[in-house]
Amino acid sequence: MPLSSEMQHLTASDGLQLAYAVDDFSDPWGAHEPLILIHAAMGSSRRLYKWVPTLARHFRLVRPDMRGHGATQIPGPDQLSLKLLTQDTIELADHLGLKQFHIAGSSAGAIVAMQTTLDYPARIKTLTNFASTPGLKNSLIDMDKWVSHIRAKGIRGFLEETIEERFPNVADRGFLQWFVDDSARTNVDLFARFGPMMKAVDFTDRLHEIKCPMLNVVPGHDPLGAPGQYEVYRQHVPHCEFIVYEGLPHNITDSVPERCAQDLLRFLLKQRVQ
Amino acid sequence: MGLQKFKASDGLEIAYVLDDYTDPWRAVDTVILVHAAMGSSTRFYAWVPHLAGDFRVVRIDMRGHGATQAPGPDQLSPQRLVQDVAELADHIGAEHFHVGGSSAGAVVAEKVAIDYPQRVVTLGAFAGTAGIKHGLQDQRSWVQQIGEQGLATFLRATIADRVDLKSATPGFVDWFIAESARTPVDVLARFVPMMRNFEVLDDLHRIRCPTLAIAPGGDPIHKMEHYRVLQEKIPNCEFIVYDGLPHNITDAVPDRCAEDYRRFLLKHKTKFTG
Repeated sequence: MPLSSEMQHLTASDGLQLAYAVDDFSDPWGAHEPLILIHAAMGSSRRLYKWVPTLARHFRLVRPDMRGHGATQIPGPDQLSLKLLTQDTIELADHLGLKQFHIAGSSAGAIVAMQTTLDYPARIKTLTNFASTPGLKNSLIDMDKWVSHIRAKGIRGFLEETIEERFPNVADRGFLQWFVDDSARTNVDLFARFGPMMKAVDFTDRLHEIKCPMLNVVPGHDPLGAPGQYEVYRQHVPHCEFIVYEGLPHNITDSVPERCAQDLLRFLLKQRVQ
Repeated sequence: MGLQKFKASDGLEIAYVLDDYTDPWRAVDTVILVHAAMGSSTRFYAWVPHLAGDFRVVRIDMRGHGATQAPGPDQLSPQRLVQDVAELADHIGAEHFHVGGSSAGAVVAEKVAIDYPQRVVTLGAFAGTAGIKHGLQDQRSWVQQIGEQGLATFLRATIADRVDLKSATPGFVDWFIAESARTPVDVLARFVPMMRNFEVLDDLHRIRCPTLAIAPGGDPIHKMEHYRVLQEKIPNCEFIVYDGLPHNITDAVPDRCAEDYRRFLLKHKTKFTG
């Protein structure tokens, strides 16, 4: 079945064409409060389809495709950096006329969401982080090994080998096959640049600058993050809610998408009341 | 998301919206929603997030309504409205489908279930009678008033027949009137008399598919006994009354309607799909 959201496009200030989807079933006479939701590496806006019904009745839900992902163009040699990914988010918000917005991201998408909050604090109402450390520098991911595996076997081969570790809680073969198929659309050369770029990032010492309410939803059993690594948010972010999904490995936004969307909705509606 | 169009067999261009946030690897049932007179597909916006995570949701703009062309002199009849639904199902490749309608759209949906028993999986009738002829108000007088005052003024003057003003927000009432007032008056002047002669009472007993009928309990436009005929004549009919509410339940309490509908649809979805 085709997912029905229509992709829209804008041109970033460096000339790259960016794609995004907007879903909004909120009351026409209401505020259409915007929420920007950013996918993980090897993903795209499509991977967040299951979040839409939960969130789009209450918010104007905007799902960008990050540089090199989904229907967004692959960046040239000088066109891939965390700064540019962050800038894309702001340029998309400007393009849509959003002065302030909620932002949320999954894994690498959460790194972009956090960096956007640090760089443009006046634009962000709330920040939500699903399954990400503050940059991958201290994570247990051996990025050089990942990249060489992906170069040798392709993204499909790499994921097929590790799919059981990623989704021990998911029995639906249809989902697992789709996850691999969808991820395998990612360009290998792009990942070979994207992964190491994220591996160089660490903004732990800036977390205290996050003044907006922040929700952290973290996997309780994540082989990709060192133990205690998610604790830094609780230590450094003043307005921080922290939820652990016990027993689940890294890919919570794919394996329990409705649970994630429900927790995000509850957090956002609570902020709206306050 | 976006509006799409197809050509009906008599050449008229019919607009519809398709929303689908179901699992991409799963085959799912299709639900076709038919709006009320003076309405359009837009009026079902709040239903979409409730239904489109489990079903492919298709919202038609009836002839002369929304973005569908105004029908020519020989192009407006009950049979045409019914056929448009079947032709839309053909167009989107739905051999079998659920059909649900609101008010005049419910009468159309009932007739679709009568005429295409092999194709219709279930019927949903929201504020639906067997025809509007026996209503407490002569809708032909509406046309006269609308001609004299304009549609918005007529709706503003009679809004309490449609919406419970104690519970409705002003934003909703203004939106409802503005949205309804987009209907061309000359189309209504033909549509209403046509609907007066559209009755399916004698054929209701032929509807064998599971049916959900939801009636407003405090409706000045129709007597409860005219809603009850669905329960009496349709062998497999679940009948629910929303106590105290005037006619337009599908607009005033859309989330309640859609949640009841979702529960019903999940109970009766086909065995062909997940």
